[in-house]
Amino acid sequence: MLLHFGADELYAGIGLPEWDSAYGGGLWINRRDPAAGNLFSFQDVLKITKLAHEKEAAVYITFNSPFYPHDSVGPILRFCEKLVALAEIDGLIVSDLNFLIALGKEKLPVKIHLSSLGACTNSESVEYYGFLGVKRIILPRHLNLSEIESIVKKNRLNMEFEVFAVNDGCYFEEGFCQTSHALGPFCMTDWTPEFFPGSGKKIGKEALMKDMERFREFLWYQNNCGCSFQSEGLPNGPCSLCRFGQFRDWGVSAVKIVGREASFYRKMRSLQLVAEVMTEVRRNSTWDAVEALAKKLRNTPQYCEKGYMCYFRET
Amino acid sequence: MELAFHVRDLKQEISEHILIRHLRSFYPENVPADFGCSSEKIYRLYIGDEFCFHRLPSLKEIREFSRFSQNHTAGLTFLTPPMTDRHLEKCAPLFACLENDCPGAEVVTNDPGVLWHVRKKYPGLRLAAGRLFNKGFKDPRFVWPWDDASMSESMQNALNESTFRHRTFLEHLSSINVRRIEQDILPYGSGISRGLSDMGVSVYFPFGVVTTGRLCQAESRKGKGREKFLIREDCLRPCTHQVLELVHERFQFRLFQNGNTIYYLYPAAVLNTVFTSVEGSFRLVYQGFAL
Repeated sequence: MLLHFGADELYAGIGLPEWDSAYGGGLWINRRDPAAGNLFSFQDVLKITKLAHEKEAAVYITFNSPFYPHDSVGPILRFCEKLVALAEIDGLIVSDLNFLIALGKEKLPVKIHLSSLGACTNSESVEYYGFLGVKRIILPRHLNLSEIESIVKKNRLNMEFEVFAVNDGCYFEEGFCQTSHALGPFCMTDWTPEFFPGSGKKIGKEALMKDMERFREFLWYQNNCGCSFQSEGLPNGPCSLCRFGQFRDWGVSAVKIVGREASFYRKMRSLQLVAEVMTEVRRNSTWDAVEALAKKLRNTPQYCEKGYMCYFRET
Repeated sequence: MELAFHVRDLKQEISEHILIRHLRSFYPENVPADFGCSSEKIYRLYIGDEFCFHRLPSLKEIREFSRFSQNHTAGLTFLTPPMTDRHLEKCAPLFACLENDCPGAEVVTNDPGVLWHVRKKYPGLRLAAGRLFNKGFKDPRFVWPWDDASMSESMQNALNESTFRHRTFLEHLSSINVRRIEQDILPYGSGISRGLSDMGVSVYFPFGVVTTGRLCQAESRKGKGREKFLIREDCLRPCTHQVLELVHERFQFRLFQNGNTIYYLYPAAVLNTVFTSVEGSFRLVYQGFAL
């Protein structure tokens, strides 16, 4: 279905029996819920890769846990060898530096992508990750447009870049967040802030509650506007569709549709939305024309106007 | 054991005696009486910030800190946050000043790009890998849903694991001239990376880091509508006089928010581990003055 609707690349997670027996549900093998966001078997990878390659699409498998316990690195590496040799996947998406270094030593004939959890925010990091064998960097959400422009333009001859296109914002920088989605997104926890005495100018309860209201409103947008859809059935949520023209001209290689654990319908509609804007981009349309089309397709001027749906905002 | 103080400015009074008094504001009922550092001497100052570019000192302040460090024969460590290309450009005078005015100064990097940059351009500065490199399990909501006996050995070990516990990574750091690692004590474990034999080890107290990012709730208090929750190029640092405690029944330990970062306060038993399990060559970094 995703190939039919125009995906040039697919990415997926997959579990490992050794992992499940060691950690149960306590730790996830990658950043998403294994039940909803992962493929179930090696056979699935074989089938998907075959189908994708027939359509000249690439397949990437993600091992993007922020860190892997020492004993798990060996089994995951052996599994990656199998994915490369037998399933002929095109790439691995990685964030843990230990795992990245271990992969570099293995010299598998596969492209290594740095997950957004690698939190690459500057050109020197690009050089460092290149030194570790990374061929593509998925830029994190916490950059503004001019920062993306700077990184991509300076490094596009030596590195591929991917940016987020639609879905699933993140209040904290995911690469620095040491909580687990296995317990639900941490930022969505309904905590109560209390002023800590002695830390300075006191803030009253009422002001703190107002802050929390605004914070929760922002989180609502980050959480795909409460996981809602607009009137034509397209998914609401964070996006960068208006900026695809800039991404094209700066040299961004790929745009990412987030949410591999989302429903079939949400994935399909997200892809249709992105594909339509990409068609306009490939016509060499102006930045303004791309933005106008994106806003027209979105058809949620009240949300766009708020600004909270944009991944990459500029002051 | 070396004792270091993370400070914001030179007006702050700092000594081990004041540290104990200060710590009492976080541990009203269970204050450790002794920190094993009998001298009132200031061994080392930590300046700068690990999580926010806007909290870095100015060039003038860096010069003052350097002078203070020379006059008091105290070491100087400059904490740096994740940075963008523009931030790195802006930091050039700070790094250059430290390299020239303060021989032996350390730079703690929390971003591989900053590490790579300082290594290439400022070889006179000593490099340390900061806490953001050291990923581990710190979710304050974690409760094993079954009895502890049913937790596998692997899972128990995982709660004690972090990036710095992998020898391969330490060797990699060493190969790129990193001479020190900086770490928290994990909230569900007691493990501390001992580093390599030729590598310094720092342990922070009384806070560990749960999460951070470039959006800041304190800064977002001002402004209207779409001006809120923006990554900004300037900031009036409202966080310098504002610490919030975050309260929720699921939190297994106390959480504090300062600016863009959420910290956990070590439970008293964990704090005790800091003083009983760290070795003589370790450095303790008191962070409470800098929040």
